Amino acid sequence: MLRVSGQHLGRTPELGALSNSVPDPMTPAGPELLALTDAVVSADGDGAAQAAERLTEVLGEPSTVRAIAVAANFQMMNRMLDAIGVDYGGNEQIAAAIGVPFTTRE
Amino acid sequence: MSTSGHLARRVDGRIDDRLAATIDRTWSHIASPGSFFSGAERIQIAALGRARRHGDDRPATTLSAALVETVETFSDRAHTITAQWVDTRAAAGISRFAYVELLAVTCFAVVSDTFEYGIGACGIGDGLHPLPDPEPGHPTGAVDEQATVDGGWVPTVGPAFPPTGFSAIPAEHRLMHTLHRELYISVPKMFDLDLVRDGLARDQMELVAARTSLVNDCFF
Repeated sequence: MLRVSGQHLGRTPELGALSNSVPDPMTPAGPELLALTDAVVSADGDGAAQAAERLTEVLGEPSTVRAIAVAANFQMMNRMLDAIGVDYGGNEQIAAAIGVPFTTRE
Repeated sequence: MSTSGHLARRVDGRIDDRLAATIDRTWSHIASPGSFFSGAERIQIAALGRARRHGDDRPATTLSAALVETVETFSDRAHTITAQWVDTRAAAGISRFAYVELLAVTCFAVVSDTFEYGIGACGIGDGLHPLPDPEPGHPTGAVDEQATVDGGWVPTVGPAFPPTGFSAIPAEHRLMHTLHRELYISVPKMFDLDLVRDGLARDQMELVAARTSLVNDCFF
């Protein structure tokens, strides 16, 4: 969805930025969004407050709160999908596009 | 302790009422009797998952060892779950319907903790807000009788798919869709690529979603 939505909006998203293989995801405020996501999902002490402050400076508080809400939602969806056995296939290709190793669970 | 208005009081108007109400409703839901677990047991599930995620000592519990292991696996290593492991849960006496409720409660607690931590309404460890007192009452036993194992590892109404993940248990299914709609996007709007929420464009939301998934080692 990142690639499809970015291209729809006339941008060229860099999936490698998800794994820090490339520095900029080519999404507006991308580095700030990634930093906030990391800090919130990892519950990184003071890091979350600092990352939220940086993103708020760029996009404003409502967008920052929305980004946190999206991360929270995917904390649920990731666990649900991994635990109920939904498999779209193509996971190996996704991992390759992002630039991370993929190990099958079976 | 009342759960009503908990978040709204803490953030003092920094987030909109619907988001605050959704998170408050989530805590109330966790504390209420479910289909297979009492409110007290559901609070223990939330506490076990929270402790595991933050590397804290395992809290005292009346839940069986199999239930504890299942919740802790959902909490911090769901990406390692296999069909064979799910079979071992059934062999340990956890029905596939009860498995869905355990998973849902664990997931809902992660949502609330992540959101409240992210917006600065609470800290981590001892700084997380106290779990609510459990609501009295007995488990209802309610399931959707149409749910069958269809392409996944647990019963779903229709094929196993993101919108049907918790569909075997109607109350958990409804809350999952409420959270998905209020925090991210409603399922009917999933293909609206021009959607903007609170100034955040769709690809910006997807960047957050994709990074969260990578941190969780989830490739779906």
